[in-house]
Amino acid sequence: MSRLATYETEIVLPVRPKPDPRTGTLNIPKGSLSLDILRLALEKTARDHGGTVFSGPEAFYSDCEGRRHRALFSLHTADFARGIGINIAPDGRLTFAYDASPPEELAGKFNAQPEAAERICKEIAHNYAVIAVMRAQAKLGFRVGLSQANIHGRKAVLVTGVKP
Amino acid sequence: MKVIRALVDDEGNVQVDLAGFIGEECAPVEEEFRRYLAELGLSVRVRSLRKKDPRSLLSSLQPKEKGEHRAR
Repeated sequence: MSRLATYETEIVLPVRPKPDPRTGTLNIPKGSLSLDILRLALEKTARDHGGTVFSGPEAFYSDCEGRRHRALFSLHTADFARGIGINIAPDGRLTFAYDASPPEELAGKFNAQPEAAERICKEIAHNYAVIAVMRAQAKLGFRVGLSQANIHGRKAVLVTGVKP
Repeated sequence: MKVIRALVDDEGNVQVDLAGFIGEECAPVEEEFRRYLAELGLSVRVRSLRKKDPRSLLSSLQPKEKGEHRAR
């Protein structure tokens, strides 16, 4: 018997970071599998874009006026240097925060590349899904392999689990 | 040999094909797979789910009309 399934996915982490009572920054619980996956997904995305991941008190993104906003993690890349803040909502949903609007004095003359930020967020979610699928297959006892695929010209990843 | 193929597209959606399972064995494996994904922070909404037994798989590979697979 064979079974075919199609899933729509959403990242909803089963952990809630707790604010440090002294500094106000969010503490990332250690040993959380989902936060481990998030960190790996961010690092993979950063590598692909030549960027850097920050966490804890160093994590922030900048708005169009140069003000910094704290986040649980942040990812800064060459094509979106203001950075993207990555947070976890109270219900566990992963949220992205960034400001792609141009500086006031350059409005209409400056392209802050909102597409770059959107693309990076999509890639983070994609990388998260790939790593989660790999780990779920491994937990089921399958030997896992990865290959690049293509669906109607769009990039995809095929995760194949094999159990003799 | 049992195989799970999961195709993750650029939106993070997943198409899963479980093959090589005996009888209804694949149903609990697919459910467990979904549960593990949720535990790992990937919440799943099933858009479609269908069974394919070897006979239907075979019939889907049969030519629908005479001459369809005629050698050139």
